[in-house]
Amino acid sequence: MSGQRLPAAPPITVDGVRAGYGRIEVLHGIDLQVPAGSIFALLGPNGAGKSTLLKVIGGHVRATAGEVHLGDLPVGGRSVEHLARLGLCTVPEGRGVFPNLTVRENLRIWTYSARIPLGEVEERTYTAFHRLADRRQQAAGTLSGGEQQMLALSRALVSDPSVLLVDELSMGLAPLVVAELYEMVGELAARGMTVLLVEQFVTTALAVATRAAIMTNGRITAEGSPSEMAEAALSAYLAS
Amino acid sequence: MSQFLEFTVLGLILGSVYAISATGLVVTYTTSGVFNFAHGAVGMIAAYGYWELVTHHVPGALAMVLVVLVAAPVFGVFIEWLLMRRLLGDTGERPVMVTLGLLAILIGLALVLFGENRGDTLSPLVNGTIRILGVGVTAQDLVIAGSAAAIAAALRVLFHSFRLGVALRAVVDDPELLATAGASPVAMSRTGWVLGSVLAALAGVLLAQQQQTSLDTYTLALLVVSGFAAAVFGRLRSVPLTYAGGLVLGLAVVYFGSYAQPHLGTLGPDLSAALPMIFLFAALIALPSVRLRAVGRLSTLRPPRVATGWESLIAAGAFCLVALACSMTLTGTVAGGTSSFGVILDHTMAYGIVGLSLVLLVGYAGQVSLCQFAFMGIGAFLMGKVAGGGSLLGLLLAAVVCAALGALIALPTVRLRGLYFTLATFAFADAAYTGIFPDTRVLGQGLNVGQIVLPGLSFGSNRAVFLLLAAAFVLTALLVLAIRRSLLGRRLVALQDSPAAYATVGLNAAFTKVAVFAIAAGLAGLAGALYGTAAGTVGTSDFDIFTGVVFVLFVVVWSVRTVSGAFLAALSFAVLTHVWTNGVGLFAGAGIVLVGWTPNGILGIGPLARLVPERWIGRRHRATGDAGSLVGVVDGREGEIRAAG
Amino acid sequence: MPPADAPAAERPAHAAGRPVLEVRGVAVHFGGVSALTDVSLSVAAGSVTGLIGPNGAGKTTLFNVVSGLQAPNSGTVTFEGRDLARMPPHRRARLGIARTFQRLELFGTLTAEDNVRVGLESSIRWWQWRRLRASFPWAHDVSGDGARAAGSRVVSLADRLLAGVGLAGHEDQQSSAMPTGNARMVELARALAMQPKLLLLDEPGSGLDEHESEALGTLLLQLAADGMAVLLVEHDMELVMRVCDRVHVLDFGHVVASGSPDEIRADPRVQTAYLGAPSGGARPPGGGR
Repeated sequence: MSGQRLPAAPPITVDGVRAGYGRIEVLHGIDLQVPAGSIFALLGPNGAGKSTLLKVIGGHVRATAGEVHLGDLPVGGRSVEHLARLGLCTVPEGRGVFPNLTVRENLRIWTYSARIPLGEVEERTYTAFHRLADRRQQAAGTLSGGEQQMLALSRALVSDPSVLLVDELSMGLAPLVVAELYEMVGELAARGMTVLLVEQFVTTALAVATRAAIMTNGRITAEGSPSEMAEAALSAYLAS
Repeated sequence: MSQFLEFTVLGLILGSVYAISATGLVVTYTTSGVFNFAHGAVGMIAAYGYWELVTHHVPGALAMVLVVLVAAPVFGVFIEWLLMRRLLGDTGERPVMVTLGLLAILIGLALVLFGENRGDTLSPLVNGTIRILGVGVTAQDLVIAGSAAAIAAALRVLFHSFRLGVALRAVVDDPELLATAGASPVAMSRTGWVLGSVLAALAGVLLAQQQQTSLDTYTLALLVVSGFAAAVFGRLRSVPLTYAGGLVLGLAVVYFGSYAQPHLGTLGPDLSAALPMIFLFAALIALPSVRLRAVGRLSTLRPPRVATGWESLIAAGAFCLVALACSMTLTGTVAGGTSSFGVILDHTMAYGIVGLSLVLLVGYAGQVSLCQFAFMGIGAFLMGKVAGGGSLLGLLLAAVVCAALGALIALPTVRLRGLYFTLATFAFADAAYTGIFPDTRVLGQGLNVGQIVLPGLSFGSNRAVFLLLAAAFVLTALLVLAIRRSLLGRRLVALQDSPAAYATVGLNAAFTKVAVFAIAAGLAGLAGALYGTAAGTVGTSDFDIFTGVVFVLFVVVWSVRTVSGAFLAALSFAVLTHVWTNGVGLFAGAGIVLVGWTPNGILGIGPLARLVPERWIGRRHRATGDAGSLVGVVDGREGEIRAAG
Repeated sequence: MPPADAPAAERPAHAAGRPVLEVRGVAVHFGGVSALTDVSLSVAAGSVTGLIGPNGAGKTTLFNVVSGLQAPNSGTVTFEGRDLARMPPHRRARLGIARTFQRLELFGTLTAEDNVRVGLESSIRWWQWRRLRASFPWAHDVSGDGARAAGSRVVSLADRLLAGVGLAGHEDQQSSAMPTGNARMVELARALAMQPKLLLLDEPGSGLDEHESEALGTLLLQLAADGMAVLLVEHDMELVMRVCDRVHVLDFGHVVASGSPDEIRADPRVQTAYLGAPSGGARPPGGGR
């Protein structure tokens, strides 16, 4: 594959991005600067376009206008798998695992971007998430929601990415599990990567984030420090 | 006892034949989500290629390598690029149609290049006979048994212990997730088709070598059909289960043929040929029902316009005038034979009715049936046999019995998902064609179907019988159009668009599916009875399963959603089968490639679509709703709306 | 039980009737993931009941359980005192349960009007020849007056239902080509065409603008005033607070709070459910009924 691996923790620059599905435009011109090495939380109500923005950054959805750069690397026109091998890791919405494959087989797939042998991938994963060790021969679809997210997050753990995109990590999970998962996100960020989180639970996300922005109706409506954003988010959610 | 051992060894060898083709099917399905009806045809082409090389004095082993390891992978890459990449994730009827089209085009190519039968046998790679448990087994049989086991074992290891194999299994489930993990879904899909083609070619050459008869295009292409049952036994996913299913099936066929069939010999038709299909049907019935789910995917297909009542009546009148004019050229009696033109006219009408049944079934309801020709055959049989030959009662009986039979087949299978339902209709068609029709008490080589004689009216002349067929066609067309414009038509389209919403508005999806399948079966039975009475004599070959499949493709190519499509399909099919038999498959196959980009078929292409005299129902009685007020609650379905607020 | 401080003008006259739908201890697992752990709630005739909660809380799963698209692993669902266990979706619909879908499930190749007609005509069985015949188009075009009258009545009902949800003039549009907001209203009209006793609405407000959303609220209040039981899943809090008599908050598979809109607004557990537990710690135990 051509291209250099991304440098550790590059900044993410989103420049006037418009995107959508078919004729429906979801993002109406997004400008966003995610500082290098930060944990950036993207907040906002349902249907604001947060996940779409994440998909544009990850190369899944092509921008109709504007451009996204990871460091100096433009995202446009590159395939998802190419970006993955350059050091971009996406933990998608829902469960980012193959439900019909066993835990071990899922980890085997992670080795496409991990560049370390399966044995080491397993060791790192089971050290971080002990619960997965007992379930290595179990189909991922039979794991609990939290365990599935751990498995999905293990991809970031073993592939040492430069950029980590996480979409709704907490969806449908009990708070204790969510806390454990976010603890891992914090640990990952400390190893030197730029993390962009999409999250509906404001407090949870802001507890780990170093910076945050709020999106409504396909536009960035506020950006600032986590404490500044906490207030703004409350009014954006509970219209009362 | 020794006899039992002999049968067991024979059964295991036959089972290995089934397994070797079935595992290939499973590999393709696992890696692409496509059930490849053309799997056997790829093997057939490979066998011919091998034969060509060997006759040009290339050593057998080298020829094998060239065919299996060089040509087959290239072919796999090619079809993945041309066709299959576009089908990744498509759960509709398109994959079935595309692989059937590939089957048709490969058979067509083989017919043009090599003819229907080469008259040559392939000499096996290794010669000699070995005795196992006192049973003489050829070395070729051993090679096949060994290959089947080795392939199954190798695939099992590949799919579970190698990263590539695991990724190949994963690509169908979630190609996008695979991409985010750094593996290319397109590369996986390509690898899958290469692997599938290699296995198909290997199976084709090995089985062709094993065949004691000469190389035969149809036999080779459809050899894999017996493996369908084994593949379904493995749920199209599990290689070990498929291998086991193949062996069990092989044993069952040999035991049945040796122990049971001799006692049944005089009672019923030879069932051992149909046993794999009965096995397939049973395996399908044992599968779990598809779960009704809200998928949230809207059908964005723009359907063709539907004609109004008056429009269709005018078109029908014009059609009748043309038919009358055509009938003037017809002379003589049915018994005395008719002109080529007459045959084409008769066939167009009979196939036209079958085409209309497919419009109803595939076009409106989205159910793909491959057994309409089998119902035709049954209709012709009833017409000829049951009512004493050539009674008007025969027509009625053909329609009613086929409808009942259709309901019987649909009842246990409509709950399955589309592909499995289609396979069930295929199983029935194949069982009828190979197991029941050839029996001399059924159709055999030729069954004399009498001509209809009414008091003061005889349909013994070619002209009269054509007019009868034309009248039946035009009435059926009017019926199908009326159904489309009625509540039944709305329901069929609604069911195809969203089964979940269909159920939640209080409609029974299973009942509707059974009903429409029964109606379509009845129409096909009627068409068969008419076909029989027009032809005078019909045989098994008139209702060939492959011809039936190709006809479905013709209707899809022209436009399976319009009555005009059914008519043009029947006309072109009747003409082509008459003037250039080998071109039939080629036309269907080439047309299917086109269907990839125009889902409504040839008639769906821009300017042509406007020529078709069928459009959305004209509106006459528009109520003046008070726009703006958001409140209107029905207060009795038959009654009034109470506008409140 | 409309709260005393609710604006009287917007509250239905007879808000709380007998419970039409009773959900008791329903649990649903997908593999190892539990979508619903233990959900109990009831919906009364003549009232709008709100069901809110974050994404993934199990709201749509609960709708699937009630409408029969998803069999629960445990628990019971009763409708007008009848246990619905093992009853297929179409029979539940005939009892009077209608629903809309969060991700649209329209009959996409049909026009808006025909979508509603399928709902209107859903009570006609195949053997009811006279009613069936009345639906045949040649009844309009070719045959006599009686059939024409019957056929046109269905068309006029369908058009008036569409006008009722604000879609007059859109009757002949192919439904899959409509914008989301209008398409949602087609689904609503189709559901209303069945004259349901219980209406399950899965985010009907998303894709609507402010005026449409307000009109939808008025319609829901009117439906409740006419005695219908409405269960509303909605993210638009303004709409929920305005029309609901009672609100249940669903979070990670069970009901964490229930009460009047004002009680819910003030409940800290709701804030927790929507905004997450402070600093990732444990959340206060749920289950207030």
